[in-house]
Amino acid sequence: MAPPRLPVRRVGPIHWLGVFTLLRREVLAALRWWPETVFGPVVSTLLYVAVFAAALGPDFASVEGAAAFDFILPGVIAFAVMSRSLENTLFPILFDKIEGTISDTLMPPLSPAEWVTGYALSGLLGGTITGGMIIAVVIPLTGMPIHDPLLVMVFGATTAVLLALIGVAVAIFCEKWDQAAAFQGFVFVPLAFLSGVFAPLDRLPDTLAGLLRANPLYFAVDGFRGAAIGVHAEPLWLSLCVVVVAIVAVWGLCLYLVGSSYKLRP
Amino acid sequence: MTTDSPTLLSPQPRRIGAVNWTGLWTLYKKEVRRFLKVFTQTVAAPVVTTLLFYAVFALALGGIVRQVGAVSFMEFLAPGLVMMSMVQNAFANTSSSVVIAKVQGNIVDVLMPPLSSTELAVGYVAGGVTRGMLVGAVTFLAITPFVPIGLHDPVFIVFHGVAASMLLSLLGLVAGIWSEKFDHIAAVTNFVVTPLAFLSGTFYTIDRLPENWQVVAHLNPFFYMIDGFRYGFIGQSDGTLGIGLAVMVTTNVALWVLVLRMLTTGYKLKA
Repeated sequence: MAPPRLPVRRVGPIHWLGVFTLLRREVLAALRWWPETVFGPVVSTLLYVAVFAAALGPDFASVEGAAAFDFILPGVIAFAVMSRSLENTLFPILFDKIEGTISDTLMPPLSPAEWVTGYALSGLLGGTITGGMIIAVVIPLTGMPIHDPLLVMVFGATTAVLLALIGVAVAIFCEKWDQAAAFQGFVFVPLAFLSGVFAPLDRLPDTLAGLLRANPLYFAVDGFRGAAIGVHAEPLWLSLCVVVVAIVAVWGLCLYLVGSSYKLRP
Repeated sequence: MTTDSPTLLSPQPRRIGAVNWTGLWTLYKKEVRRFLKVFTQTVAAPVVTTLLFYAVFALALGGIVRQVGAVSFMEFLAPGLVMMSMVQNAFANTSSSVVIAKVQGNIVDVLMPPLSSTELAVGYVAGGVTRGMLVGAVTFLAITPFVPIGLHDPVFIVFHGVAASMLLSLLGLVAGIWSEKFDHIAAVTNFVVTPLAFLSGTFYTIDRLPENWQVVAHLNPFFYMIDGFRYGFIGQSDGTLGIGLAVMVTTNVALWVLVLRMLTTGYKLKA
C-alpha cells in the first residue's frame, strides 16, 4: 500500500511565512544579546554626549557651544542606528557562513528577494529598536527637542535599511571575521565619522569635503539631523532621494549576489 | 651529539632554575605573535580610530574650546588619546587571549607547561604591555604631524605609559579569567573599561565639570594615568602628581596580588 501522500504546501507569489520566519529568527537572535545590541549602544551614545558636554564645559553656555552640542546629538544617534543596523545583518550572516549554518536560511523555499527582505527588515527593526531606546534616554537627559517626529522616523528607518543591506552585501563578500572587522574599522567608521556626525563638512578642506559629499551616509546623517533639530546643509528631499537611491542600488547588488549564489553556495 | 654513552639514551629531566626563562619567553613570544598576526585589527585599526577621534574633536570643538590652561585644546587632547588607545589595547590583549583560549579549550596548552603563577602572569602582562606600548607609539607618531607635542618630562611619560598598560593588562587578565563567554568580556569592555576611559579626563580638564562630578572623577584610576601621562608632555596637570604616582603603584600592586591569587587557586581556570 502506498503511503499517504502529504499535501503539497502552496506558496503564493510571495512566501510571507518564510520571510516572517527569517525575520523572527534574526530579531530574536539580536534581542537575545540585548546587553550588547541594545544596552551597549545606549551607553556608548551617552558617553559620547557626556564627553562632548564636558569638553565644552563653560563654553557650553555660549551660542556656538550650544549649537555645537545640538549638532552632535542627532549625529551620534544616527551613528548608533547605522552601526547597529550594519552589525544586525553583517554579524549573523557571516557567522552562519563560517559555521555552515547558512544552509538553514538558503535551503527553505525563499527567493533571493525574500531572503534579502527578511534580513533588511531585521536590520530595520534592530536599528530602530536601538535608536528608539537611545532617543528615549537622551531626550529627557538633554531636553533635545524633536523638530519633526515623522521625518525622524522616515530618515531613521531608511538609514537603518540602507545599512542593513550594506551589511548583507559585505557579509556575502567576507570569508573571515578579520575582513568584516577591517570593513568596519577602515571603511564604515571613517566614512561615518567624517560624514558630518560630529561637525559640519565645511570645516574640512574643500577637496575632502567634496569627496565626502559623494557619500550617501553624509546625506543620511544630514537628513536625520534636519528632521531632528531642523538644521541641515542639504535640502531634505535631496537627502531622502539619495538614501532611497542608495537603498535601491545596494538592494540590486544583494539580489544579484544572492541570485548568483556568489560566495554563498559552493 | 654522540649516542654511544648509554646514560644519554634515556631522556633526562630538564633542569629549571628558580625562573623558567624558556617557558616565560615562549609564553611572551606566543602572546606577541598572537596579536601581530592580525595586526590590522590589533594595531592599525585602533590607530585609525584614535586619529578619527582626534579629527572629529578637532572639527567639532577646535573652534570653540581654544585653550586649556596654557596649551591649545588639540595639544591637550593628543596625549590623552594616545593613553586611551594604549590602555584599551593592553586590556583587549590579555582579556581576549585568555577568554578565547578558555572557550576553545586550548588554555591547557598554557596551564600544562611547568610555569608558575608568577611566570604565567608576567608572560601575559608583558604581552599586553607590548601591545599597549606599540599602539601608543604608533598613534603618537601618527598624531605628531598634525600637532606639535612638546616633551616636558619623559620620566612621567614612560612611568605612566608602562604603569597604565600594566594596570590594564592585569585587569584584562582578571576579566579574562572571570569570563566564561565572549559576552562577559564584551560587557566588561563596554560597561567598565570604555566608560572609565572616556570619563577619565581625556577630552576635558576635570575643572570643567560640575563640583560633585569633580569628586567622582578623582576616584577613577584612569584619571591619574592620563593626567600624569599628559603632564609628561604638556607640563600641566589637573590632579596632584604625587597622588597619581601613588594610585598607579597601589592599584598595580593590588591587581598583581589578585591575579597571582586567581592563578594559584586555579579560579575558573582549573577544574
